[in-house]
Amino acid sequence: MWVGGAYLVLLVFFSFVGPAMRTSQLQPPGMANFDAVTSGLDRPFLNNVAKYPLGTDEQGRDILARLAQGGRTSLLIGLTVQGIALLLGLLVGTIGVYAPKWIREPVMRLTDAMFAFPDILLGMLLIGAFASASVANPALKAIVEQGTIPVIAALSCTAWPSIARLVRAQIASLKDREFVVAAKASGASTYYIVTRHVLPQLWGILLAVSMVELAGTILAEATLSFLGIGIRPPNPSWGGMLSIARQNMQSHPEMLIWPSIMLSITIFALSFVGDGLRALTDPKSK
Amino acid sequence: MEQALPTPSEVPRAPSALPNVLKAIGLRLLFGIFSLVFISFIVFLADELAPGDAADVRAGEKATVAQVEKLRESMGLNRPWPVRYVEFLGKAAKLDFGHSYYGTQREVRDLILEKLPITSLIAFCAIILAAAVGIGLGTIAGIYRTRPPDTAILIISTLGVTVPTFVLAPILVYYFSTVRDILPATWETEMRAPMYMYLLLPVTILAARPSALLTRVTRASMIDTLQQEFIRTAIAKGVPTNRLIFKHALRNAILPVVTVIGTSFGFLLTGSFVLESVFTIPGIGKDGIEAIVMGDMPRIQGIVLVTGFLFVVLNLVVDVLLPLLDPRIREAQV
Repeated sequence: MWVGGAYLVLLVFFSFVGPAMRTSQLQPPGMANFDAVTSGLDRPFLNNVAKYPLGTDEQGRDILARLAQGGRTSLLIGLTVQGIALLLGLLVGTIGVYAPKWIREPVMRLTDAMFAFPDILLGMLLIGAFASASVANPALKAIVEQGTIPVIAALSCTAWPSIARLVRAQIASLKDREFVVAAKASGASTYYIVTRHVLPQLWGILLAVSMVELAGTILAEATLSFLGIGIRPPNPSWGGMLSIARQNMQSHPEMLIWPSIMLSITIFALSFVGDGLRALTDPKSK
Repeated sequence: MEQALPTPSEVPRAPSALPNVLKAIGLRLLFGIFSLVFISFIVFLADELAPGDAADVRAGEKATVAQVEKLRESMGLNRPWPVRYVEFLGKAAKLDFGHSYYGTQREVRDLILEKLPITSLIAFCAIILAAAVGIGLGTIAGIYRTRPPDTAILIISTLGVTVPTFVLAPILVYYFSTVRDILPATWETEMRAPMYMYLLLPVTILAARPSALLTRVTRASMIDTLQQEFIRTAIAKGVPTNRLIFKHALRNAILPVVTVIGTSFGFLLTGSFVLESVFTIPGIGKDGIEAIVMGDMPRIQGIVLVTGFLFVVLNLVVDVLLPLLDPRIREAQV
């Protein structure tokens, strides 16, 4: 778990400092507005050159810079999606326990139905709707062609139901514990009980579960980008880099290596740290 | 003494288990239907909320507002949405999703009917393979708990769960097609080898993750079962090892595994989207991706509805079959 945590800290550092660092290192003299991530620097498919430690890609761009930028994209999208999912999940989960029955029941049945709907289909539908809308609406075209916002929308929609179900189950089990009943008996309002007594109990498990879910979100983003419907070129993402590497696999198989390694280790580390956190925060496992 | 014992007619009879099962199955069916309606509504809504509709697309970018409005009226798109939703449902029940916006503007029904069989074939082979491998390895791991075979299987299954499909696929393709040249890398319309050669890699890769999951579930369930008292009794009775494992332990351990098989259908869907684009298999997944890139709403709607329908129905079948397999669930008040 600590190794996983150390890797994640390094990854954050690498992906947020990396692009800027490579830009200043590789900047040719007398060229403003230079960006190491998107501009071609040299001949394509260079390898074993000291200037580009991981080589260059099919357009002669620095793979190291793109890898770092891809990591940043993955982390930012993952964190945004998990943030939205947490907010929605907390809201719906709390409603699922405390709201009057006529609100509670339909909301939870809808959550169940969302949960049963395969993630990839819902995501595809949303991204498809964005793409379809952009045909008639030129303002949307830039958003769709960049890809970040449709991906965040699609993944947030699929991520919240599992959090909502977890929150609901946890709150339902806390609801009749002595300290909550005591607060109720001393006249605290439902709002006060939920925000001061119940929710603070949940942070540990929510943090742990979010870590594991974050791995799923990053994987989903990479899948979408790999399929060409997530982050679109020229913006780098690990999934997109893998997709390009696959197209050039016959001649340059070494391009597969780095995105594969980064993606696999990141997902492995996140689920590892998440499981470790869950074991730490779950009082039952002590 | 004997007088105190109640006669058989006085013993309160256990309530028959059957109505409970029927009630549970009925509730499950109801939820299944609810899910289907929900999916259809979401699919309908996706088109509804997106600015721009079929009339915009058909009229083209140069059409004037009045022209589009006229077209919209003739296509019935300006009626209130509940009316159109009911119409949409009626058409969807007949698999009528309209025509594709782009390309040859074929009917979506024909496209789906043409492409679904190959996707289903791959998914079906993969789930069979995953069940065989997962239950087999899981049983072995459960028997050899914490000894070397178990450790080896656990390491492999951890890798199987964490390595994404689209990382595994190019690596295996590179090794088996580019380096060794024994399996074809992509689908060809005129096949140079028997069909199973083309299916071997996609099916194996698709089965990797479900196999790993099933291995872990089978292992846990097997370990749990082997610690039960009836197993100790069976060992004491001198039941032969094979019979003990397959008849006594595995039959009891298999039930959670069946549930996981049910939930893997969702993963198979995702996986087949990836694999079909890696291997250029002309299935429903590759078609779906193309439709999304173009924003071809009727095709997306058709594909999402049909695959969503299959997903719900398959899960329903698993959930309904489970109580029939397991007398404990059958008799518990579900």
